[in-house]
Amino acid sequence: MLFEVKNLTKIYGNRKVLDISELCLEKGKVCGLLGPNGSGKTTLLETLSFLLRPTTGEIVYDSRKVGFSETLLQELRREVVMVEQQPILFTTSAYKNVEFGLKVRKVPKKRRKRIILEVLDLVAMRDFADASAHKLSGGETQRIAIARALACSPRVI
Amino acid sequence: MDFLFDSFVSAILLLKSLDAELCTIVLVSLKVSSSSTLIASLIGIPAGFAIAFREFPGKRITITILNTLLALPTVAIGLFVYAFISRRGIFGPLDLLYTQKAIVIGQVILIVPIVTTFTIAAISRIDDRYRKSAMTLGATTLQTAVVIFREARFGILAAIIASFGRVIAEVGISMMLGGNAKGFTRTMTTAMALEYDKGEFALAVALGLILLSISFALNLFFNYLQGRTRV
Repeated sequence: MLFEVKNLTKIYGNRKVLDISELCLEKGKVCGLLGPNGSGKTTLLETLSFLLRPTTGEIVYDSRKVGFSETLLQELRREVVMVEQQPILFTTSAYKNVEFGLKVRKVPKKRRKRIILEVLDLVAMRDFADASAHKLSGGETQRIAIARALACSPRVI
Repeated sequence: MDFLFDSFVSAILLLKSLDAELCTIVLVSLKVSSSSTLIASLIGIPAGFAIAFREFPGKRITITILNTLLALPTVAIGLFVYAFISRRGIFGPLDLLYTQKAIVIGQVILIVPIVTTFTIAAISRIDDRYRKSAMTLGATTLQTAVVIFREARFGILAAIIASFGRVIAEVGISMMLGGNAKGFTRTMTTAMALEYDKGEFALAVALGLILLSISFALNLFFNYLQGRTRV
Protein backbone atom coordinates (compact mmCIF):
# COMPACT_ATOMS: atom_id res chain seq x y z
CA MET A 1 0.00 0.00 0.00
CA LEU A 2 1.17 3.53 -0.78
CA PHE A 3 -1.16 5.32 1.63
CA GLU A 4 -2.87 3.86 4.70
CA VAL A 5 -5.05 6.29 6.60
CA LYS A 6 -6.75 5.61 9.94
CA ASN A 7 -9.20 7.74 11.96
CA LEU A 8 -8.26 10.91 10.08
CA THR A 9 -10.07 14.09 11.10
CA LYS A 10 -9.62 17.76 10.34
CA ILE A 11 -11.48 20.28 12.45
CA TYR A 12 -11.66 24.05 11.84
CA GLY A 13 -13.12 25.74 14.92
CA ASN A 14 -16.26 23.75 15.69
CA ARG A 15 -16.58 22.37 12.17
CA LYS A 16 -15.38 18.88 11.35
CA VAL A 17 -14.50 19.03 7.65
CA LEU A 18 -12.93 15.58 7.36
CA ASP A 19 -13.68 12.31 9.13
CA ILE A 20 -12.26 9.15 7.58
CA SER A 21 -12.06 5.95 9.62
CA GLU A 22 -9.98 4.02 7.08
CA LEU A 23 -8.58 4.53 3.60
CA CYS A 24 -6.00 2.55 1.63
CA LEU A 25 -4.50 3.62 -1.70
CA GLU A 26 -2.47 1.16 -3.74
CA LYS A 27 0.76 1.90 -5.57
CA GLY A 28 0.56 2.50 -9.32
CA LYS A 29 -3.22 2.98 -9.41
CA VAL A 30 -5.21 5.94 -10.69
CA CYS A 31 -7.87 6.85 -8.12
CA GLY A 32 -10.90 9.06 -8.45
CA LEU A 33 -12.40 10.89 -5.50
CA LEU A 34 -16.10 11.73 -5.63
CA GLY A 35 -18.21 13.63 -3.15
CA PRO A 36 -20.62 16.55 -2.81
CA ASN A 37 -19.45 20.13 -2.17
CA GLY A 38 -17.95 20.57 1.27
CA SER A 39 -17.42 16.86 1.86
CA GLY A 40 -13.67 17.35 2.34
CA LYS A 41 -12.20 16.20 -0.99
CA THR A 42 -9.69 19.06 -1.19
CA THR A 43 -8.87 18.74 2.52
CA LEU A 44 -8.13 15.03 2.06
CA LEU A 45 -5.95 15.67 -1.00
CA GLU A 46 -4.06 18.46 0.77
CA THR A 47 -3.53 16.16 3.76
CA LEU A 48 -2.29 13.34 1.55
CA SER A 49 0.02 15.84 -0.21
CA PHE A 50 1.42 16.75 3.21
CA LEU A 51 0.33 20.37 2.84
CA LEU A 52 -2.10 20.19 5.74
CA ARG A 53 -1.69 18.66 9.17
CA PRO A 54 -4.71 16.59 10.28
CA THR A 55 -6.29 17.30 13.65
CA THR A 56 -6.18 13.63 14.62
CA GLY A 57 -5.41 10.33 12.94
CA GLU A 58 -2.58 8.41 11.42
CA ILE A 59 -1.13 8.39 7.92
CA VAL A 60 1.25 5.67 6.78
CA TYR A 61 3.01 6.55 3.53
CA ASP A 62 5.03 3.84 1.79
CA SER A 63 5.15 1.80 5.02
CA ARG A 64 6.44 4.84 6.97
CA LYS A 65 4.32 6.42 9.65
CA VAL A 66 4.13 10.14 8.90
CA GLY A 67 5.33 12.46 11.64
CA PHE A 68 4.07 15.98 11.05
CA SER A 69 7.26 17.93 11.71
CA GLU A 70 8.01 20.59 9.06
CA THR A 71 11.39 19.06 8.10
CA LEU A 72 9.88 15.63 7.55
CA LEU A 73 6.92 17.04 5.64
CA GLN A 74 9.27 18.94 3.32
CA GLU A 75 11.01 15.66 2.47
CA LEU A 76 7.69 13.92 1.79
CA ARG A 77 6.42 16.81 -0.33
CA ARG A 78 9.25 16.13 -2.75
CA GLU A 79 7.62 12.74 -3.46
CA VAL A 80 3.98 13.83 -3.64
CA VAL A 81 2.97 16.78 -5.83
CA MET A 82 -0.53 18.20 -5.94
CA VAL A 83 -1.97 19.85 -9.07
CA GLU A 84 -5.02 21.90 -8.22
CA GLN A 85 -8.22 22.06 -10.23
CA GLN A 86 -7.59 25.77 -10.78
CA PRO A 87 -3.82 26.04 -10.53
CA ILE A 88 -2.01 29.30 -10.12
CA LEU A 89 1.25 29.99 -11.92
CA PHE A 90 4.01 32.22 -10.59
CA THR A 91 4.28 35.68 -12.19
CA THR A 92 7.01 34.76 -14.63
CA SER A 93 7.38 32.75 -17.84
CA ALA A 94 5.96 29.26 -18.35
CA TYR A 95 9.54 27.94 -18.58
CA LYS A 96 10.51 29.38 -15.20
CA ASN A 97 7.34 27.97 -13.64
CA VAL A 98 8.33 24.47 -14.73
CA GLU A 99 11.89 25.15 -13.60
CA PHE A 100 10.85 26.02 -10.02
CA GLY A 101 10.59 22.47 -8.62
CA LEU A 102 13.87 21.49 -10.25
CA LYS A 103 15.66 24.55 -8.90
CA VAL A 104 14.59 23.87 -5.31
CA ARG A 105 15.86 20.29 -5.80
CA LYS A 106 19.18 21.76 -6.96
CA VAL A 107 19.10 19.96 -10.32
CA PRO A 108 22.05 21.16 -12.50
CA LYS A 109 21.14 23.77 -15.12
CA LYS A 110 21.89 21.62 -18.16
CA ARG A 111 19.79 18.72 -16.89
CA ARG A 112 17.09 21.15 -15.82
CA LYS A 113 16.75 22.49 -19.35
CA ARG A 114 16.49 18.99 -20.82
CA ILE A 115 13.77 17.96 -18.35
CA ILE A 116 11.79 21.20 -18.85
CA LEU A 117 11.75 20.84 -22.62
CA GLU A 118 10.79 17.17 -22.27
CA VAL A 119 7.78 17.84 -20.03
CA LEU A 120 6.72 20.85 -22.10
CA ASP A 121 6.71 18.54 -25.12
CA LEU A 122 4.67 16.02 -23.15
CA VAL A 123 1.90 18.57 -22.56
CA ALA A 124 2.33 20.12 -26.03
CA MET A 125 3.36 23.50 -24.62
CA ARG A 126 6.94 23.85 -25.86
CA ASP A 127 6.00 26.79 -28.08
CA PHE A 128 4.73 28.62 -25.00
CA ALA A 129 7.96 28.22 -22.99
CA ASP A 130 8.75 31.94 -23.04
CA ALA A 131 5.14 33.07 -22.75
CA SER A 132 4.04 35.03 -19.72
CA ALA A 133 2.30 32.55 -17.41
CA HIS A 134 -0.47 35.02 -16.59
CA LYS A 135 -1.38 35.48 -20.24
CA LEU A 136 -2.12 31.78 -20.78
CA SER A 137 -5.69 30.49 -21.08
CA GLY A 138 -7.26 28.28 -18.40
CA GLY A 139 -6.43 25.07 -20.26
CA GLU A 140 -2.87 26.17 -21.03
CA THR A 141 -2.39 27.10 -17.38
CA GLN A 142 -3.50 23.62 -16.35
CA ARG A 143 -1.10 22.02 -18.81
CA ILE A 144 1.83 24.10 -17.51
CA ALA A 145 0.84 23.18 -13.95
CA ILE A 146 0.87 19.49 -14.92
CA ALA A 147 4.26 19.93 -16.63
CA ARG A 148 5.53 21.72 -13.51
CA ALA A 149 4.50 18.73 -11.40
CA LEU A 150 5.84 16.14 -13.87
CA ALA A 151 9.22 17.88 -14.00
CA CYS A 152 9.71 17.03 -10.32
CA SER A 153 9.37 13.29 -11.13
CA PRO A 154 7.12 12.70 -8.12
CA ARG A 155 6.05 9.24 -6.97
CA VAL A 156 2.47 10.49 -6.58
CA ILE A 157 0.52 13.21 -8.40
CA MET B 1 -0.12 87.12 -7.25
CA ASP B 2 2.95 89.01 -8.53
CA PHE B 3 5.11 87.85 -5.64
CA LEU B 4 4.36 84.22 -6.52
CA PHE B 5 5.36 84.76 -10.15
CA ASP B 6 8.51 86.70 -9.12
CA SER B 7 9.42 83.96 -6.62
CA PHE B 8 8.90 81.35 -9.29
CA VAL B 9 11.25 83.17 -11.70
CA SER B 10 13.87 83.65 -8.94
CA ALA B 11 13.50 79.96 -8.01
CA ILE B 12 14.19 78.89 -11.59
CA LEU B 13 17.30 81.12 -11.64
CA LEU B 14 18.47 79.59 -8.35
CA LEU B 15 17.99 76.09 -9.72
CA LYS B 16 19.76 77.01 -12.94
CA SER B 17 22.76 78.46 -11.12
CA LEU B 18 23.00 75.38 -8.86
CA ASP B 19 23.12 77.65 -5.81
CA ALA B 20 25.49 76.16 -3.17
CA GLU B 21 23.07 76.64 -0.26
CA LEU B 22 20.25 75.07 -2.21
CA CYS B 23 22.40 72.06 -3.17
CA THR B 24 23.48 71.50 0.44
CA ILE B 25 19.88 71.59 1.67
CA VAL B 26 18.78 69.12 -1.01
CA LEU B 27 21.70 66.79 -0.28
CA VAL B 28 21.02 66.83 3.49
CA SER B 29 17.35 66.08 2.83
CA LEU B 30 18.12 63.21 0.47
CA LYS B 31 20.75 61.74 2.80
CA VAL B 32 18.53 61.85 5.89
CA SER B 33 15.38 60.62 4.11
CA SER B 34 17.18 57.81 2.27
CA SER B 35 18.84 56.61 5.49
CA SER B 36 15.58 56.57 7.44
CA THR B 37 13.73 54.85 4.58
CA LEU B 38 16.44 52.20 4.32
CA ILE B 39 16.47 51.50 8.06
CA ALA B 40 12.66 51.50 8.30
CA SER B 41 12.48 49.10 5.33
CA LEU B 42 14.96 46.74 6.95
CA ILE B 43 12.76 46.69 10.06
CA GLY B 44 9.30 47.06 8.55
CA ILE B 45 9.42 44.61 5.64
CA PRO B 46 10.51 41.54 7.67
CA ALA B 47 8.13 42.57 10.48
CA GLY B 48 5.22 42.96 8.05
CA PHE B 49 6.10 39.68 6.42
CA ALA B 50 6.23 37.84 9.75
CA ILE B 51 2.92 39.35 10.90
CA ALA B 52 1.15 38.55 7.62
CA PHE B 53 2.67 35.11 7.19
CA ARG B 54 2.27 33.69 10.70
CA GLU B 55 -0.69 33.10 12.95
CA PHE B 56 -0.07 34.11 16.56
CA PRO B 57 -2.12 35.27 19.53
CA GLY B 58 -2.61 39.04 19.43
CA LYS B 59 -2.14 39.32 15.66
CA ARG B 60 -5.25 41.43 15.16
CA ILE B 61 -4.47 43.82 17.98
CA THR B 62 -0.90 44.18 16.65
CA ILE B 63 -2.29 45.20 13.25
CA THR B 64 -4.75 47.59 14.90
CA ILE B 65 -1.94 49.23 16.89
CA LEU B 66 0.19 49.57 13.73
CA ASN B 67 -2.74 51.13 11.87
CA THR B 68 -3.22 53.57 14.76
CA LEU B 69 0.47 54.51 14.61
CA LEU B 70 -0.04 55.63 11.00
CA ALA B 71 -1.78 58.70 12.39
CA LEU B 72 1.08 59.57 14.74
CA PRO B 73 1.81 63.33 14.43
CA THR B 74 5.42 64.23 13.64
CA VAL B 75 5.55 66.72 16.53
CA ALA B 76 4.52 63.95 18.96
CA ILE B 77 7.40 61.80 17.71
CA GLY B 78 9.70 64.81 17.93
CA LEU B 79 8.69 65.37 21.54
CA PHE B 80 9.00 61.66 22.40
CA VAL B 81 12.48 61.28 20.88
CA TYR B 82 13.54 64.61 22.40
CA ALA B 83 12.74 63.24 25.86
CA PHE B 84 15.25 60.44 25.29
CA ILE B 85 18.06 62.28 23.52
CA SER B 86 18.02 65.70 25.21
CA ARG B 87 20.79 66.37 27.76
CA ARG B 88 18.50 65.16 30.57
CA GLY B 89 17.36 62.05 28.66
CA ILE B 90 18.85 58.58 29.04
CA PHE B 91 20.62 58.88 25.68
CA GLY B 92 21.74 62.44 26.44
CA PRO B 93 25.45 61.52 26.74
CA LEU B 94 25.39 60.32 23.11
CA ASP B 95 24.98 63.95 21.97
CA LEU B 96 22.41 63.10 19.35
CA LEU B 97 20.16 66.12 19.63
CA TYR B 98 20.33 68.55 16.69
CA THR B 99 22.18 66.06 14.49
CA GLN B 100 21.15 64.28 11.31
CA LYS B 101 21.11 61.01 13.31
CA ALA B 102 18.40 62.44 15.56
CA ILE B 103 16.26 63.26 12.52
CA VAL B 104 16.80 59.75 11.17
CA ILE B 105 15.72 58.18 14.50
CA GLY B 106 12.52 60.23 14.54
CA GLN B 107 11.75 59.55 10.89
CA VAL B 108 12.32 55.81 11.31
CA ILE B 109 9.73 55.80 14.12
CA LEU B 110 7.38 57.73 11.82
CA ILE B 111 7.59 55.35 8.86
CA VAL B 112 8.15 51.88 10.34
CA PRO B 113 4.35 51.54 10.82
CA ILE B 114 3.82 52.65 7.18
CA VAL B 115 6.26 50.10 5.75
CA THR B 116 4.95 47.37 8.04
CA THR B 117 1.23 47.90 7.39
CA PHE B 118 1.72 48.30 3.62
CA THR B 119 3.79 45.09 3.61
CA ILE B 120 1.10 43.26 5.61
CA ALA B 121 -1.52 44.47 3.12
CA ALA B 122 0.63 43.45 0.13
CA ILE B 123 1.36 39.97 1.52
CA SER B 124 -2.22 39.37 2.69
CA ARG B 125 -3.54 40.08 -0.80
CA ILE B 126 -1.41 37.30 -2.30
CA ASP B 127 -3.49 34.26 -3.22
CA ASP B 128 -2.82 31.36 -0.81
CA ARG B 129 -2.41 29.07 -3.80
CA TYR B 130 1.05 30.60 -4.39
CA ARG B 131 2.13 29.30 -0.98
CA LYS B 132 0.59 25.88 -1.58
CA SER B 133 2.07 25.63 -5.11
CA ALA B 134 5.56 26.46 -3.87
CA MET B 135 5.26 24.00 -0.98
CA THR B 136 3.88 21.13 -3.05
CA LEU B 137 6.73 21.62 -5.53
CA GLY B 138 9.14 20.95 -2.68
CA ALA B 139 10.10 24.46 -1.56
CA THR B 140 11.37 25.00 1.96
CA THR B 141 9.71 27.57 4.23
CA LEU B 142 12.31 30.16 3.19
CA GLN B 143 11.91 29.40 -0.53
CA THR B 144 8.12 29.67 -0.13
CA ALA B 145 8.57 33.03 1.60
CA VAL B 146 10.73 34.21 -1.32
CA VAL B 147 7.96 33.21 -3.78
CA ILE B 148 5.39 35.20 -1.81
CA PHE B 149 7.76 38.15 -1.49
CA ARG B 150 8.29 38.10 -5.24
CA GLU B 151 4.56 38.07 -5.94
CA ALA B 152 4.03 40.95 -3.50
CA ARG B 153 7.00 43.01 -4.71
CA PHE B 154 5.01 45.88 -6.21
CA GLY B 155 3.04 46.38 -3.00
CA ILE B 156 6.26 46.34 -0.99
CA LEU B 157 7.95 48.77 -3.39
CA ALA B 158 4.91 51.04 -3.03
CA ALA B 159 5.40 50.88 0.75
CA ILE B 160 9.01 52.03 0.40
CA ILE B 161 8.11 54.85 -1.99
CA ALA B 162 5.21 56.04 0.18
CA SER B 163 7.51 56.04 3.21
CA PHE B 164 10.21 58.01 1.42
CA GLY B 165 7.57 60.49 0.30
CA ARG B 166 6.37 60.83 3.88
CA VAL B 167 9.81 61.54 5.37
CA ILE B 168 11.10 63.86 2.69
CA ALA B 169 7.99 66.01 3.09
CA GLU B 170 7.78 66.03 6.91
CA VAL B 171 8.81 69.12 8.88
CA GLY B 172 8.00 68.49 12.59
CA ILE B 173 10.69 65.91 13.35
CA SER B 174 13.37 67.64 11.29
CA MET B 175 12.69 70.95 13.01
CA MET B 176 12.43 69.62 16.59
CA LEU B 177 15.26 67.09 16.51
CA GLY B 178 17.49 68.61 13.83
CA GLY B 179 17.20 72.22 14.86
CA ASN B 180 17.42 73.56 11.28
CA ALA B 181 21.19 74.24 11.51
CA LYS B 182 22.44 75.65 8.19
CA GLY B 183 24.64 73.18 6.33
CA PHE B 184 24.07 70.39 8.87
CA THR B 185 20.45 69.67 9.64
CA ARG B 186 18.60 72.10 7.38
CA THR B 187 16.33 70.04 5.18
CA MET B 188 14.13 71.18 2.31
CA THR B 189 11.01 71.44 4.46
CA THR B 190 12.65 73.22 7.43
CA ALA B 191 14.34 75.62 5.00
CA MET B 192 10.99 76.31 3.33
CA ALA B 193 9.41 77.06 6.72
CA LEU B 194 12.30 79.38 7.60
CA GLU B 195 12.22 81.22 4.28
CA TYR B 196 8.46 81.66 4.64
CA ASP B 197 9.00 83.20 8.10
CA LYS B 198 11.54 85.59 6.60
CA GLY B 199 9.23 86.49 3.76
CA GLU B 200 11.83 85.20 1.23
CA PHE B 201 9.90 83.05 -1.13
CA ALA B 202 12.42 82.40 -3.92
CA LEU B 203 14.35 79.66 -2.09
CA ALA B 204 11.13 78.23 -0.63
CA VAL B 205 9.55 77.96 -4.08
CA ALA B 206 12.76 76.47 -5.54
CA LEU B 207 12.79 73.84 -2.80
CA GLY B 208 9.10 73.16 -3.35
CA LEU B 209 9.79 72.57 -7.04
CA ILE B 210 12.64 70.19 -6.19
CA LEU B 211 10.42 68.29 -3.71
CA LEU B 212 7.75 67.82 -6.36
CA SER B 213 10.36 66.82 -8.94
CA ILE B 214 11.80 64.16 -6.60
CA SER B 215 8.32 62.79 -5.97
CA PHE B 216 7.61 62.77 -9.72
CA ALA B 217 10.92 61.05 -10.50
CA LEU B 218 10.23 58.38 -7.86
CA ASN B 219 6.83 57.64 -9.32
CA LEU B 220 8.26 57.49 -12.83
CA PHE B 221 10.85 55.00 -11.58
CA PHE B 222 8.12 52.94 -9.88
CA ASN B 223 6.03 52.87 -13.06
CA TYR B 224 9.08 51.91 -15.10
CA LEU B 225 9.84 49.00 -12.75
CA GLN B 226 6.22 47.83 -12.88
CA GLY B 227 6.20 47.91 -16.65
CA ARG B 228 9.58 46.23 -16.99
CA THR B 229 9.08 43.36 -14.53
CA ARG B 230 5.43 42.51 -15.10
CA VAL B 231 5.92 39.48 -17.35
